[in-house]
Amino acid sequence: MNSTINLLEMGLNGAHLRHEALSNNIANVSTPEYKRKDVNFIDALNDNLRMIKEKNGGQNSNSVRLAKTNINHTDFSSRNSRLRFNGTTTFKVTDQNNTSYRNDDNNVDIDAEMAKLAKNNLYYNTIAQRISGKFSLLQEVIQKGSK
Amino acid sequence: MFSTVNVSASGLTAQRLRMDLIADNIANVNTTRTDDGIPYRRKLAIFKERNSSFTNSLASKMSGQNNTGEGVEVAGIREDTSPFKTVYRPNHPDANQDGYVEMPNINITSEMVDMISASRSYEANVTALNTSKRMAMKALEIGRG
Repeated sequence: MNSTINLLEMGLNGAHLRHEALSNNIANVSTPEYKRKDVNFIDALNDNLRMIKEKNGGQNSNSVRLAKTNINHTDFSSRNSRLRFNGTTTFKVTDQNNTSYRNDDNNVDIDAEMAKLAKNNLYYNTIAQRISGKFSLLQEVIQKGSK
Repeated sequence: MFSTVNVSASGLTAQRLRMDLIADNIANVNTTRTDDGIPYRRKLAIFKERNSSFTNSLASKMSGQNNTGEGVEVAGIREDTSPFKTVYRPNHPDANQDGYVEMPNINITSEMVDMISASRSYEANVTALNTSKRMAMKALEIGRG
């Protein structure tokens, strides 16, 4: 439960940083010699997941299993229960220096930037909604548990 | 959170200044007299990436990662040094001995194109700003239940 929220939080942080980079690209759309910046935070998140998986000996999900003493017992697996995020993943801002879009050496394609901005916003909304969902799930458990 | 709003706001300011200069150029398309005694020269805004604030540089060095930049700033307003247009108009008070008048070096078509470009860039910055606000509102909704 906790790790899910941590992972979602990292997604939110990454999406926010990317939004900042994209806004900066849009602000500099007519600046000569400006090179666009971007944050590839999804790759960074995947790297982090892979690192944790390696630390856990090659297993990620289904890493905790209950022993079955009877063939009729239902399988139980705690997904991601051993994944722990410490929130130290740093997202890197990269400059795309090798391309040029116009004569003034600027490489901001405004249409692509707006599309990326919209996509990033949707991603952010999705993650925020999932965090809300997780919290309402918790609240449900707390309220209904006493009845 | 609010640094994103500042980035977009710097874009809005820069594009508005560019728009001001274009309006000035279009208004002065026939101006043959200025304080310097020569015709009006076309004015241009020079844009520059803004990323030099001390706190930002320090933060990026301390955390060891690049920063996302702080938007755009206007490095200065320069005059277009291209030669004036000359028009044969012997009756004009500012005509020289051969009857030619020096007119400002403004091409009205390119000003119009610049104007559309500035206007669209302004809109793009407004969209980015609105998206920032929506993202902030969405983040505030977390945990509202």
